[in-house]
Amino acid sequence: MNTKRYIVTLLALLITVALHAQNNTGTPYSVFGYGLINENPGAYTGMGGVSAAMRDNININYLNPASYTALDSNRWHVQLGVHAEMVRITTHKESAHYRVAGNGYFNLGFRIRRNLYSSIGFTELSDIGYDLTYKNVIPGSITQKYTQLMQGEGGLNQFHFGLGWKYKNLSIGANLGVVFGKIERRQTLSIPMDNAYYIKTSDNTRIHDIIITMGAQYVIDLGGTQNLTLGAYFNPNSRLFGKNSYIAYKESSSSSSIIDNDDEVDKGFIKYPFKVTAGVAWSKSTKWLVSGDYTFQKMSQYREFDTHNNIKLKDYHRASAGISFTPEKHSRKWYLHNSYEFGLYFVRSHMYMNEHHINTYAFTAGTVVPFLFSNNRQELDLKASIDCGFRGSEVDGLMRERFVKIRLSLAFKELWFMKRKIY
Amino acid sequence: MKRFIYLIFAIILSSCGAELESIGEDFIGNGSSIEMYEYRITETSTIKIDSFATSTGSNTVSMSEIFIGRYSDPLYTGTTVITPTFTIAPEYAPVVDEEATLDSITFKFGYTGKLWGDTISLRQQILVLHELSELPIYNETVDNGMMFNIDPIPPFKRELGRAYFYPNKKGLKDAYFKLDKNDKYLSTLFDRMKYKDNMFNDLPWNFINEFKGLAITADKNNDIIFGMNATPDSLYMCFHYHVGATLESTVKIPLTTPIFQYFNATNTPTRKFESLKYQTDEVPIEESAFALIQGLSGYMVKMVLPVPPPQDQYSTLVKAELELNPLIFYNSSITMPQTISVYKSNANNEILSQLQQASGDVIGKLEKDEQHLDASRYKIDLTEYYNAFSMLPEEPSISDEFTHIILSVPSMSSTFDRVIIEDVPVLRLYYAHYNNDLL
Repeated sequence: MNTKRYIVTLLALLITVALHAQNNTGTPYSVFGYGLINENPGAYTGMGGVSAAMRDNININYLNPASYTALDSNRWHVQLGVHAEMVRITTHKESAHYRVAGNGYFNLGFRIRRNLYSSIGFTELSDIGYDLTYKNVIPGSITQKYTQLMQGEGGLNQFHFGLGWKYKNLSIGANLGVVFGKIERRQTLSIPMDNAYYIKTSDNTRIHDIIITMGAQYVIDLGGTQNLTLGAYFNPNSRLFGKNSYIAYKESSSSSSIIDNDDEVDKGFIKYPFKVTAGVAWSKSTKWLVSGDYTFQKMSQYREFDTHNNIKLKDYHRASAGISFTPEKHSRKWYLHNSYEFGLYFVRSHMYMNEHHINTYAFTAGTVVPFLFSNNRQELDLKASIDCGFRGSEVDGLMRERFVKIRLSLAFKELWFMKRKIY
Repeated sequence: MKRFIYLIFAIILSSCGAELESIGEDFIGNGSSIEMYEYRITETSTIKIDSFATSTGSNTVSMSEIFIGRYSDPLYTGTTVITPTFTIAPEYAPVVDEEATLDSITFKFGYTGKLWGDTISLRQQILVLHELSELPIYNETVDNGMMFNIDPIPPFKRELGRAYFYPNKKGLKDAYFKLDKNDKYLSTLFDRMKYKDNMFNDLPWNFINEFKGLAITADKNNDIIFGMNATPDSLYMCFHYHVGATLESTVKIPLTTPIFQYFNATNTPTRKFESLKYQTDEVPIEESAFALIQGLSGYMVKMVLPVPPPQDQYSTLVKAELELNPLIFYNSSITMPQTISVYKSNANNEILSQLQQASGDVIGKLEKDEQHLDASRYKIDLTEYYNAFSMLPEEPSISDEFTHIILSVPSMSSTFDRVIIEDVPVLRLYYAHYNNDLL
């Protein structure tokens, strides 16, 4: 049994590392700021990604650290998730598609002492990935064109350590997150002429710093088996330390020697703006759960090094709602003890192009399949959910992305802290 | 559980792929770009260099070919007359039977394959072989002993013979000079061979000191210029004789001593270029309506290029190209060169160093359009030249000198190829602006 546990944990770690190594997105929308913000994060992706007021004893809701106090007091929890995405991009004159996998997260949760719970984990905050080739007419010429290859990769990730503390119906918590990642933008300029030079530039910002997430939840007993949970969490304005290096060099197609080298190294800060999420969840016994969230992040204050790449972003808004229904939790029939989830989310993103907001509309659906092992010592929830939606529009030179995301996650808990009384 | 893990791996392995090549063209801004600056090089002129070398100046290194002929073009080139001179001597003392009877004397020359001029009307061409009365003046201490196209041919002593042929491959291959076997000096020369005269000792100098040398001239009605092989087995005098009734043999006196080999190439210009008396003289393209590059005549094109435009920190040159629009003749009697040599120059039209690619290749090439010959252009790659410009100190005098160039055929002394530039050349500079501002 120990061997099986270690193999499962190792697999989970390997999968997460492998997914982290992949370029997890392919959309040109990830060119803005520190990349495309994960629009349906957390453990409740089948319910539209609600998180502020969500707490239960199987999922590690790492987004709101106050929820750790809902975990089992005598079990350790493991959670990991992967997703695959298929996207079709269209403009008014052309279309393309891409497929990616990734956005792995991995979390552990356990109780430290009475009323004090902890979680450590790894997750992705944003993603950058695009690889585009453009051919444009050379100004001053009529027919000659030059080629511009633009590539971006990177994004921000977070390793967190969090604590949650409970006092009666109130839970508060905090995550100390180590944010790290890179924002890399590369381009190549070339013209199709013999012995012409081509220019390559690389703008690479490496970030590593700490952000704090603080959260709170309050559970109101409405009587019977009904509960109402109010929840909120926020990140204060943070300055993430970054080191930017910019290098430009030109090469000849007939010679591999570097001719020019503009090398600049700049150290400074990326401003990670204030972000708050608030929500409410209503539950009735183990059968019904309805929740709604609202997220705001002041992305208009996003800055890179104060003077570098100061693009104008808009504030970020996200609203989501979801419902979960479990017909009969302890039924022997699988279709009765599974949970069924549905949700919606809307995002008015920080991107504003050609006098249009880039918005996302999506609905989600999912199911949770519980398993019990080893005389109820081990409990496993397998979750599958799907996001279907679209982002942007085709007007005024913009792009519309129609996406389908499949998410699979695994939440596992095992009895750790209880000694056998009978041997 | 296992199935779940397999499903996860299946998703990971199959999920990556993208076909995003160009979408979003209007979406991501192009703060970076490549821009072209175009200049018409109005300061384009024809010059005529004072002289060019037509010998090697060395007693051990001989020229592989020399040129002969006459070509007249009243519109562009004018009249070019080329007269080669050289010495001959036996390689060893000839062994001729005292009973030998001279049958005939010929002078043979080999055709290199290079031919310019009227090869269509097939007018018979005439060449005249002359004996020189004195040797050409060779001074090792002056110009390393080199001879130039303007060096005069020594006076002729007498005419030895003539060659008649038609200006085509077969005609040139079979052509030879027929000399008079009854000529007193030549017949006496044959007798001196038989009796091992002292002039055949200490070769070649004893022979050369007496038989000074030869020159070949083209008849005034000729209209071709061609190349002759300048090797002993291709250029020789031949005495044909017999001994008795059946034994026939020959004695050859071949080409020798390269220091006396050179050719005189004189060009009488058209009226448009009459003012080109010195290398510093120029005739602008706007005055003559064309600019001329001509081998074996000394015509080159001088240009003054523009100083590159000032650029900001994030701009750099990626390509510089000079385009020439040559006048194309269908079935032309004078061919165009496949490449053009480019040299640095100055206000005095001096020919300084040659501009080349980093790999050593020439930078001026003909881009021939087989479908539309009129669309053929010469493209001269000045990228390295203009890149070096950016490294110069910012002194106007230095910058100014840097902008003078001269265009020429690849080797002025070994081709009669010609380029007539009828339009003002165009220089295009391509700059990359890479400020990385994406939005």
